[in-house]
Amino acid sequence: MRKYIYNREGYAFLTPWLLGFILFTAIPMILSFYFSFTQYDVLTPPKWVGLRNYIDMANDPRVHKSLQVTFTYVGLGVPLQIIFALFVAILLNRDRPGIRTYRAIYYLPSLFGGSVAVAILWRQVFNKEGLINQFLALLGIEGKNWIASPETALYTLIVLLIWQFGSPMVIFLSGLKQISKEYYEAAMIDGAGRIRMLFSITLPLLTPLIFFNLVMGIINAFQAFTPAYIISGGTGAPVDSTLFYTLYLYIKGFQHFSMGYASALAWVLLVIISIMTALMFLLSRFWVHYEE
Amino acid sequence: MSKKVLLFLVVAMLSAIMVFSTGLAFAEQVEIRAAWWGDTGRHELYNKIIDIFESKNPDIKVIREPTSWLDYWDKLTVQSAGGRAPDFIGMHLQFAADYVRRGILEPLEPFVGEGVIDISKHSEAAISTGTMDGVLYMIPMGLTTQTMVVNNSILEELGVEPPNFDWTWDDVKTIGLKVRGAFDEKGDKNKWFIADSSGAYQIFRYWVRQRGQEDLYTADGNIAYTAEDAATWFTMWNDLRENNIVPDAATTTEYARATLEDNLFARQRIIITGIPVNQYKLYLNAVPGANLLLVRNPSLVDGLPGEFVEGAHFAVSAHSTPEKKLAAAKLIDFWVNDPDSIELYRLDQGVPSNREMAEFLMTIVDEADQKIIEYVNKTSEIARPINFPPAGASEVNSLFEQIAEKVRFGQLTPEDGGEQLVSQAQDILNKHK
Amino acid sequence: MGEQNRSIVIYYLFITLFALVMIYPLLWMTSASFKEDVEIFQSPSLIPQNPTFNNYAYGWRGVSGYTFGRFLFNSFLISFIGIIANILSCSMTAFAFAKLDFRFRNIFFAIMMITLMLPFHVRLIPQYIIFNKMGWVDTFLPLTVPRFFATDGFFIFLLVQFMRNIPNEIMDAARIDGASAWQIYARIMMPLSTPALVTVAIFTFIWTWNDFFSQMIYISSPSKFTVSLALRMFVDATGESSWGALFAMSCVSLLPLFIIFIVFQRFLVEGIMMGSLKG
Repeated sequence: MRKYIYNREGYAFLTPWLLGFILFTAIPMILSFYFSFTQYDVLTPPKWVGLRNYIDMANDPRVHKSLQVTFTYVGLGVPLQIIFALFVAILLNRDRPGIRTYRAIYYLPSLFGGSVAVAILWRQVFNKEGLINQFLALLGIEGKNWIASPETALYTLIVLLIWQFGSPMVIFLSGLKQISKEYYEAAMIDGAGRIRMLFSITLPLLTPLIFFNLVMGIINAFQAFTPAYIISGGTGAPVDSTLFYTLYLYIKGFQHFSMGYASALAWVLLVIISIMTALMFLLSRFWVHYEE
Repeated sequence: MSKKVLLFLVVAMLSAIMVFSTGLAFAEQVEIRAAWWGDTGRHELYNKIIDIFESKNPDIKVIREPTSWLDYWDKLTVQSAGGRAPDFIGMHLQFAADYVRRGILEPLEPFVGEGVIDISKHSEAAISTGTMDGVLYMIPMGLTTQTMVVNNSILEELGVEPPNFDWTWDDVKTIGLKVRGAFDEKGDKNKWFIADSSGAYQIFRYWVRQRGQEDLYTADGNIAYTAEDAATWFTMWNDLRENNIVPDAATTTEYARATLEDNLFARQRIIITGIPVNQYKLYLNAVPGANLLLVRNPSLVDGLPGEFVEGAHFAVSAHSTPEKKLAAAKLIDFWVNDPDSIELYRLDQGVPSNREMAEFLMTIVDEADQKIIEYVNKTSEIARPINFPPAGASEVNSLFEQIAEKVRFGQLTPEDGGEQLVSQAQDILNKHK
Repeated sequence: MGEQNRSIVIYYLFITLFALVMIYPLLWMTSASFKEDVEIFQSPSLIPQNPTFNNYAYGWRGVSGYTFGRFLFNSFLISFIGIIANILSCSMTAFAFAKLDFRFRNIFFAIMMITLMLPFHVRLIPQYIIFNKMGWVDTFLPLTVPRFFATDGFFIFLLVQFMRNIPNEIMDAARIDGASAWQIYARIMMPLSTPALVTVAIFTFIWTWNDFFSQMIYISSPSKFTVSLALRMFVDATGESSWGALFAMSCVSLLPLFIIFIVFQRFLVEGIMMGSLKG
């Protein structure tokens, strides 16, 4: 597919973003990079210390723990959330009465975002006397304190991520709307069944958005902060089992006044995420199909 | 839609925002910004107090910036980084060291000297809580101290005698076992005698001081306790936990950050918990109808009294103009000395450090508040001085909580916990020197 | 016919059951909003013992003399401006990345993606310092103006993916007819991207409405408080929290979001122009 080469037009349309990048993003990024080589307690000017923050990071057991926690969260949470979102989007992509209200209800959990209310609600569900355990009691099983035990606390956060699948779902819904009806009509004439149409038409045409949700899901999950913050009260409790990487970053920067160290943490995270994203872009040519 | 219309809309919108957000400036008036933390109730109260101040000082206008406790410190940090800390700042000993040692707070001696802030009627102990290295940085807005509140109604139900006012750590176990027995008879598996304070740095402080150390930190900014102090502390709490006198580790963690109405005491699942005494009335409201007693923190047999007086304070920003600093200082003076202010303020953050005002309050407050004032007065008599925490204290605080939690979940022995605590805490302090 | 009816019933049964799981927390919160503070944590049932409207009345009173209505207005203002800003700026940028070819395009795209990967806590202080120097602190400017400059990379990327799914033949045909890039953008791309733009609008509104941290940092005067800031005021560890009021006002604040979502869904309508273009 040819694209026309129009330098001037391209830059004209890009101007808002370019300006925004220079004014609002580039300078903070450069500054934070600079801070990562300093000892900066925020309230007094930074002091240059070279690579010390990066070296300290390599030896900091809490960094290792937070990486472990974060990778688990991303590796389990994102794929599961997207699968759910896809499943429900396809399910709700019907023109049936009241379907719009159902879609809104399924989107409801995402509306809660990171409010204080969610923390309370999650405790009500996952603590010793919570809903889950009440349900398990009916089956004769005695549940533990899921939300406050080191072995299981992180998984309650993963469930929270999956429960808030509304955003990928909506994106899939709008993608499903973009697929021309003619494809399905043609397939029906050829005698294809529903499952066949799903795998031959719907999924392939949705790959650009599956890819989008995957990439954004991973980028966002690596930077997840609010769930851990509100549920652990900003501590990563119990015993750092919910210490997301950015939560640790926040603790170091804002509570321990080590903004230099926090900046170093941030840039290492950036490198990790960009490597993963680049990999995903490279691999995308094998499975993502664009209509252009 | 044509480009022009779009452009016009955009410009119109931007203009609207600009008009909306910039206020009108008043000439000839000093404008200061006052920030504090609290809930909606406190915001109403403080607004009223400031209104009275403004009516008495028409040349000063106070812009109010209330926040909730959770966010107050994040915001103050960011604002200070931008050189934009509020002129009149609510401050707390927990974080004060970091701000004082980085030059954010203005020394207040000059204002005292010129009579702007009158501390003649304030007790020495009170003023010393705001003094670091001999320099006065903040004035207490209320004095308080740690106490333990006891739900005597539950004890009566269980048929167990409440602890004495001067009870000891040994009593905790003795009475605790009795209570445990009584609960088990009734089948109350989810209730316990006392809250697990193994991770409460401020109660550990009592332990340390009772064992003869000067405080958590020495006067020159080092760790003042030993690994053994910590190890014995953790061992004691492990023992209490094994005997089911305090809740299990998971329950303690779950409720660690709960608010007042939400915590184990308010839910009537534990009988005793540590609170700052000025919250006594709030707890009365949270457990309506219950008979609540106040007792001291348990003391050590043959140990020294660990008591000390603390509170919440007001300070003035150092990065401000002289007129604004003066105005902020006047506000402080009004707040802690003027009867019109005290009449409204009552015991919001504790007992007024102005002795005359405290006596004045005794005549107009109710029984519960009188109890609080008496408790603070009693404590002041036996309290020993404190050492102002060094920079990095808040980091040490969270280190302590983490180590205590690991010990709670059995991931660390008390001895190892003690060792790690002392060495890592000292490292942190060294880093910030 | 019976077969079909039965499968419809099963369908609805299934999605209703699932929906209950989604909606339970809202039910809990709504019931809590009608309970007295003390009862909220004492009794786990969904039916309040002494239903009361106090929480709504108290919560509506707001903070420092400004009612919750003011906070709702502020949130609406910022969110709507955000929608317009994002739709304009992000679509222009996405069009450039997806359909126009120019030097350094891929590099700029990579840079844009990278801006998404730096945790905002470390950008916070430098950004605050910049905005402070411009005198924008305690105004709505830091929360609205940047959006006009396509700072939300998420939406740029989203629109890129949508636009790449629109066949180039349409553009080529328009070029042959002598259309300029702006005309292609305004007359072809934008209408065809309606489902995506609607998605951008919905998300921008909801995320701005719920965004808490930036609003907390840049807004100090109660008159400018937004809903998410005001909600934080109801719960405080150092005093008496007004849980009832928190839940009541949370329900109130969820209502506009819910409505916006249902209303805008109308535009996520059947594959619009696609069919007609093929012919």
